[in-house]
Amino acid sequence: MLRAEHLCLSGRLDDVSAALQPGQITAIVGPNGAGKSSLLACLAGLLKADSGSEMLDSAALASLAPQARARAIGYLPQSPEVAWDVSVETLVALGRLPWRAGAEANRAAIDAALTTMDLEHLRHRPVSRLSGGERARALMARVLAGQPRWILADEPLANLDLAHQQTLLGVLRDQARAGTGVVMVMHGLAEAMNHADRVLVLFEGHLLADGPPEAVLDCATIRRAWGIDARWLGEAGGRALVVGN
Amino acid sequence: MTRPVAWLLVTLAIAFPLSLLAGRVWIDPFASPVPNALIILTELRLPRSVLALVLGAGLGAAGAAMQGYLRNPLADPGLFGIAPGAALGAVLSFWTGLAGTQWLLPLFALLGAGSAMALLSLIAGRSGSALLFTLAGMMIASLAGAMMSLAISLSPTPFAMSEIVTWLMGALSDRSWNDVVIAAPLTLAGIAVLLRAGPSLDALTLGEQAARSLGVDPRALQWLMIGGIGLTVGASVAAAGIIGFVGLIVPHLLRRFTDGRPSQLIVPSALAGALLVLIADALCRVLPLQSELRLGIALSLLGAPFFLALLLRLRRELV
Repeated sequence: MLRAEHLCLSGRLDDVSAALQPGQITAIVGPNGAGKSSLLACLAGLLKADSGSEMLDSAALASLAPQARARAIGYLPQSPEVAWDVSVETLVALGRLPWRAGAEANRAAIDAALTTMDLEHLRHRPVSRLSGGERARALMARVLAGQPRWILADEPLANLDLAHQQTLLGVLRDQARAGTGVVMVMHGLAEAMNHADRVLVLFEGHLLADGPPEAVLDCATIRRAWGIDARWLGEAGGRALVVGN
Repeated sequence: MTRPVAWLLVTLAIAFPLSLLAGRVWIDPFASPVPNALIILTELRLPRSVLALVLGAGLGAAGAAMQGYLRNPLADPGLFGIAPGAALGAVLSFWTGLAGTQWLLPLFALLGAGSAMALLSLIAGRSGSALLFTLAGMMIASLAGAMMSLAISLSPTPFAMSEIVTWLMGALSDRSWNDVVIAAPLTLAGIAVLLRAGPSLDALTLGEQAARSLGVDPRALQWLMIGGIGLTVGASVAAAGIIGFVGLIVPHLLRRFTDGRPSQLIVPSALAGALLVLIADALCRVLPLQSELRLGIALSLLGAPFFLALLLRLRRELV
């Protein structure tokens, strides 16, 4: 279990507590500036809260060695950079850095990640020659290659077209079924409604609502957090959000 | 062994013995023996060429690590202010008249490098931020530069001033085995430290936050960088004065022959840096000038057009 306990971060988070379960997809949603990315970075152990604590199972994240934390939690930042023009395979292999595994184990994990993200045919292509969608898939493959118990991704759907969004959501669902905890910052409320098991709604640093998407993403919460009137159409699992009356 | 490393080793194996033959007095192994050839080779050329290899290797490796650390192909080891710190130490040894005493000049330079390293870690503090670190380095470089100018302007004698100015130009002339004894172990230790930083530099390819998520401790990396750059660049300045551009040019030229990871660039850059300084120094010896061209000037003359070409290419990419 990955827990945030009374996290406070000046101007960004105000007493946020949540206990996230492995094997689930948890979506963190909220308007711009609500503190979503800050909460995700705290849960990844990359941002130190002013007060409160982050716990991974029974251990405080801050007490874990950086390598041990990195093996447990894979983190995909928002708008990730790639400083050097490495090949897709080399980029994905960076995900194995926290492991001191042998070449065979590393090779197997890298190949599996490339296959999962449908990148085998692009294995040797330099990152500079990838499309936005291919690049986003390669960066997610880098996270998968680390075989983490938790995947924390900040807007992983942002640069993907609809088809690749569905593919990635499918991959993350498979990861969750295999027992991995998946936590995503998302802007698309429909994706959160249809694909998440649990939704945290943040508003001005507060945790406004926390629970199953059908219970949490009601019209009143959307109006309060985003200041818009919206209603849901369709059935569970295939809902669409219509803005306006 | 990767292909660039193998090629560089072969080229070095050919260039090193050839460099021993080149100079004001050419030593042709197939012609009639030159008087004092053995002394020229063992006491003048051999230490000088070994020193060129050592310093070039250190500067090349330092440049590769710096560019990886700052994720910038225009980064140079001089950015941390360690080279100007070492140079200031050396200038003070001239200023106080102690430079003539054996070991004191390099010792002063190493103390200067050490002081710059200590100041750098004090100012950059515990944040581990590369930006803060670089700004601190630039501040130290600027301060050391100003203090060197002050020392030159207040030189006790015209002779000291001339000595300082000449030494700052960087050269390997009149170097002996003593200089090799000082520079070689420090440089090798520095390269070993930089190699240890390699995996963390690879992770930085993905940016600071992603690197931390991969288990990189930014403060530990900062210490490795201060230690590695300090040892390699400090040893280089202590033995030969300021030699620029090697750390900038070499990693840049070799990057396309590697898989792009900074860790894979350190050893080839060390070998190519050694080759570049060895060849440049041999050229300085054979150029028919009234007095020998200073190595620092030769490399800057070679480096400046390269730097300009790099900037023009970057400008084209930005348009």
